[in-house]
Amino acid sequence: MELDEQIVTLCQRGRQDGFARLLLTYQERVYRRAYSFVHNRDDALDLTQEVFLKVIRSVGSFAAGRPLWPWLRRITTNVALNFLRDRPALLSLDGAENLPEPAGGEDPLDAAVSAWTARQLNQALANLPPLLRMAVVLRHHEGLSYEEVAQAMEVPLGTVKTYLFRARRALRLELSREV
Amino acid sequence: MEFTCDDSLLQMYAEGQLGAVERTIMAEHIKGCPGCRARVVAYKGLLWDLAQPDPEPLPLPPQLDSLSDRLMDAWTEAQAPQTWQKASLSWTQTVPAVDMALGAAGRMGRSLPRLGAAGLSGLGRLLRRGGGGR
Ligand SMILES: [Zn+2]
Repeated sequence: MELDEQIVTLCQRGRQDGFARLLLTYQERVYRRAYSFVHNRDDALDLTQEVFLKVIRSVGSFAAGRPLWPWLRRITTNVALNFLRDRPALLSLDGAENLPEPAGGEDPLDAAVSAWTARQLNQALANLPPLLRMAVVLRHHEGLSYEEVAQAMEVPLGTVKTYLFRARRALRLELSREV
Repeated sequence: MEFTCDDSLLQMYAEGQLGAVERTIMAEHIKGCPGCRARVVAYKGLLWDLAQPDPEPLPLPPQLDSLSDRLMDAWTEAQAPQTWQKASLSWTQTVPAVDMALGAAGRMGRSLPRLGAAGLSGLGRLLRRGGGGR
């Protein structure tokens, strides 16, 4: 928090070292978050550039003393949503989440052991339609509440619930298949 | 299939999002329904794993460094008008400068010489490695 305040104060004085600190502290985090939304390196790089251009334009009116990450995360989410809206094919919710329940139900003993690896989980996340993945990332990686995810994604609360239910069901089914 | 075997309700139960009454009903149901019990266990495991830091974080592309440089250029360009115009200049008036800087950087491609390297190589490399999140 103290670091954020220093960064903002320096930036608002037009200081180059302020913006350098901001990049060094947050560029990687913005890139990783952008990547988690779009799962493509070049697109994530473009989104990262766009985020920091917006920062250059608006850091002057940012209230020093507030934490920077929630603001940067909001810009990153908005930029990613605009990117997806320009590509209707990516907005489709169809995909892995339409998997049927395994025939005959799951064996309770098998399912009781969550033996999937982190790599399998990442792969399953990558296979989700982008909007479902974005909801999961904001809820479970960023720790936002359902309401905050709805605000961030600019959709009604009920839609966020639908996204999360479909996404997590798809993850469970895909991972239980691989175990 | 009963009302309580509903997958969304099971997820809410595993996530601790149900109200007291629904939670009690669901807990009773799960005792006698092995399928739901297995799904709740799977969802609890999934929610737990999703909340953990990624043990294999995404490798960073080398282009992030040249992006830093271009952004530093854009910053410098954006500040330029303020040094000789009135202090009351609004931020929106600096936007064309930002666009020009990025346009120029874009045209020159990614082989730009490192600019602002004083700020980046010194205090910075340290900080960059510290950044977390998945
Ligand atoms: Zn049941």
